[in-house]
Amino acid sequence: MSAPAPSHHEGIRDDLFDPAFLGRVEQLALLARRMASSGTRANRRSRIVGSGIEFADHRGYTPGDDLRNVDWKLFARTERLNLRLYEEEEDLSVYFLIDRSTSMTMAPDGEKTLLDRALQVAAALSYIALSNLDRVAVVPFADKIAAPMRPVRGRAQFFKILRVLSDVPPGGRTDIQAAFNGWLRTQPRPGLAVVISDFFDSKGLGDALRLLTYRGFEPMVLQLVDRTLLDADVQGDLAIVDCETGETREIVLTPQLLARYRAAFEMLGHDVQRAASEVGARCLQIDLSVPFDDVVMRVFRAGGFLG
Amino acid sequence: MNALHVHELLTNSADLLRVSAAVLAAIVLLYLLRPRQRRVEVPFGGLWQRVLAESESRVVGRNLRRLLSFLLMLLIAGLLIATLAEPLFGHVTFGQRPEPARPHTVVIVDVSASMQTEDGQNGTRLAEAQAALRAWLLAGPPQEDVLLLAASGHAEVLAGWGSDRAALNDAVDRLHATDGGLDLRRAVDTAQQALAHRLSPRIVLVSDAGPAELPLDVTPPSAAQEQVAIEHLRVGPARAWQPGQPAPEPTLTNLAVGELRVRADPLDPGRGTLSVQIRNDSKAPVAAQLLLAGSDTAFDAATFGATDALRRIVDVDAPPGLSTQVVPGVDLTAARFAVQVRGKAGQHDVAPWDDWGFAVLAERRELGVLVVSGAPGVDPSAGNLYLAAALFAHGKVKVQHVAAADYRPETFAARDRARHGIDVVVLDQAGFALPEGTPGLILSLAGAPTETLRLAEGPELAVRNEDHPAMRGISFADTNFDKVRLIPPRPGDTVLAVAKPRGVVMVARQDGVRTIEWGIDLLETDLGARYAMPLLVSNALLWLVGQEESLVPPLLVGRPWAVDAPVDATWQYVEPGQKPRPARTSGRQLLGQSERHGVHVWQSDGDRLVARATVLAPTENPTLLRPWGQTVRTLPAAPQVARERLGLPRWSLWLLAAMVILSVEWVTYLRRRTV
Repeated sequence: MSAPAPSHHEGIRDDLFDPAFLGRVEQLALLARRMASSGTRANRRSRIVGSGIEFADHRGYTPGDDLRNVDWKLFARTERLNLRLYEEEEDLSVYFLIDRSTSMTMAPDGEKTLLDRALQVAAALSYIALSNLDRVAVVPFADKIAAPMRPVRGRAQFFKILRVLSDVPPGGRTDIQAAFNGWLRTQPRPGLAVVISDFFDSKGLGDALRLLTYRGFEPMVLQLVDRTLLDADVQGDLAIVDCETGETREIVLTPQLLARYRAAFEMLGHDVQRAASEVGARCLQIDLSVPFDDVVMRVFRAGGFLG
Repeated sequence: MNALHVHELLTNSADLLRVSAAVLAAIVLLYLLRPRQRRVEVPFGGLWQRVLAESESRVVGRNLRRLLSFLLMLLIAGLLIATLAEPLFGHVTFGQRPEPARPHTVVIVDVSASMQTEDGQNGTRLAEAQAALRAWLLAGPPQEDVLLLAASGHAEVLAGWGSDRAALNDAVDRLHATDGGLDLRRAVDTAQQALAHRLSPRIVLVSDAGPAELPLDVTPPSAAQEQVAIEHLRVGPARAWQPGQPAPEPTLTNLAVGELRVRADPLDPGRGTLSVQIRNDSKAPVAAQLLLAGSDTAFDAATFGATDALRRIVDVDAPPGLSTQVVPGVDLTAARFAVQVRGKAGQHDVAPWDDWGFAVLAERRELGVLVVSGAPGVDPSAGNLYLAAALFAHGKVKVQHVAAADYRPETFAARDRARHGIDVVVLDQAGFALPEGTPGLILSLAGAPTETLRLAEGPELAVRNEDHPAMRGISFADTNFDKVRLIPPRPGDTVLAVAKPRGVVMVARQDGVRTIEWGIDLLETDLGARYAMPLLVSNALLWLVGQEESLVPPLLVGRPWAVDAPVDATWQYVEPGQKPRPARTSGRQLLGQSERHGVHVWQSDGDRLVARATVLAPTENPTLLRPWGQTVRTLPAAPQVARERLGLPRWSLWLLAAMVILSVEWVTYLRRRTV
């Protein structure tokens, strides 16, 4: 039985982005302002070799580098050419890469899906980013990007973000690497890439994150999980069907097998965290039962979003 | 539980087993056909693939398990088909088993009460039978298959088919005599069924009964219709009895207790008169003693023979044959009563098992009596004092008085007895009808003709039916009657007293409800002041409510019993000398069967007690030599039902095997992962 289509008001989903939600988002934005330094310019530091004034690091000289950046004092001491790196202050682009695949839409009748929660979290963080004068873009994906959105700036664009979020089409098969490859071919400006997904991808997450990092993005990983799906009350002969691929497997579900499935599920979470840490990205695992505002607060506390 | 019990259980429960088999088969088929798989949509099949990765490495084992499961299912289905087909096709389809070409013999050993008689060369007749049987087994062909049946009221298999002589001798050693009578028909019937489809069938009867006219032909229930040879192995006096010759005269010394009767004094139930039938099997009179014992708890010869149960010893002369000894003034205060007869000089009695008779005394309950007084000059609230005195003498009555003008018969109908508590209505000169269904005593001079009688001067009033319980111990000699009313007797009336030669003055009726009618008025006679009056009233009350007998009717040893009792409780049955066990019930009856002589007790969890004494089977007489050939020859030939009965255990085993395998499949189901 398919769920009824959500109602919209001026292109915005009522069930997700109601006035209470918007009010709570405003409160979160005020809170975010207190937690971060404020200014008219974007103040999030980007570790890019640039024209900033704050020293960041050294790196080895390679032919073609601007000789003006060579640290001659260091050369005098070590007789090795190194470039001085500065953290460039710039207005940041924040991309919300939202998994819209079928696995994100599984939930008991009438319950919120992982996709719903992802959209809410993305909306809240978008507002905060817009309030922080960052550029924001929403990039829904499954195995490819449907229609890339150009980044927008300013709080006035928040409702545009909400309309884009409300129009995210659910469904599709998860292939994160293929989706990111396709998106990166559109030459997006490097920035913060918040990947929100359940990461039910047989190819894993590591290659996709490495690809983002290679292209100059700073990834942040939000893994959404729904543990109620682990509390299966069925046993015996089952034909399990993958909701995305339609592949069927016959099993006899026993309590022992179910326990091993739960362990494998936890292991998947560890794999996601390991893949994120390999590229220096922050990773949060968020259960569906956690309210969206708590999720946002956890993102704040994890750091890296507010600068 | 021995083999016969199993066999009987299966045989007698044929219908139940069939119904159970059909239900079980349906359940099993539904189980086999149940939907094995449910489709469950999961968000990430890859995770399951990871979980099941190690199982994937055991593909061969998985396929083997699947194959095993499939084979188990096939086996269960095959067994179920065999189970269902077995009763239809019988032995033709599944039951026919190649039999070895060796003779089969069923040995029926009589273990009835008469086999306890100690006139054999080795002690009892049973011991003699055991010795003869051991010799017979020793002399028989070693390859002969033998089945040993112990027969009394029922047939018990002591040793199933086999040729192991040691096992058969062990079974012979286990033989023990019972107090029951011999049901030869049932024993031969069981033997016939056991011999079905067997080669060279033969029956050997070992008993103290008389010889049969050999050879006896019994048609076995087999397709081959092979004749069953029957041979006798006689013990006791019958050993010397040859077919066609007159039965030998037994020369035994044996005293036995036959029918036992007790008549309690209506006015003193604690005392009564004992009537004992004694059988003297010797040819000469024997000076004997009767040992009278009473107890509330004793149950057999041993417990009644204890000193504390002994009440009295009475010397009697027992002439040859049957005689009846009457002992007045017997103490009847105990609930149970027993009598033993023995030679006064301590003569050897060859059959001690028939020396005892047991009885359970009927409990006399309190009766509710409604006296309706209509006689002129009698205070209705007190009633007729002569009547009141007689009722008072009876003792266990609760009397209510009502004036004739206030009497409403419908108020005291029997269906409302629980409400008004009236068992008997006495109409004293009250011309009304009795309540519906309620017994009544009617004293009435009303109606014609009425005569004035004066004893010794005119017509004589005499008891007509002395055996009627209402007239026990009654004599009207010397009694004066001013007036009596002649009662026109109706068909079915029992005349109790007549005014010679004019007509009937007292009658008893029993047309659904008991009624006694006296054509007298206690104010017009001196009967009320005489001893006969309380006796008459007491006798009448007891007969009217069906308590005229002092003994509870006995049960026959060895036969199935059904005893009326309220079965709204849990009952335990106590066989004499045995531990209590749950009683079987049916409707409002307690069921039982035993081959022990004595007092049998059913006890409820509410401390209610039902006790019944037993009497021995009349056929169990150590001197009675019965030819039994005639019994065998009247057996029905080739009963078709026997074929199905013998098939039952086999198809039951099919079913049992299917159930066991199904259980294994069920229990191991979750452990056999089929991925």
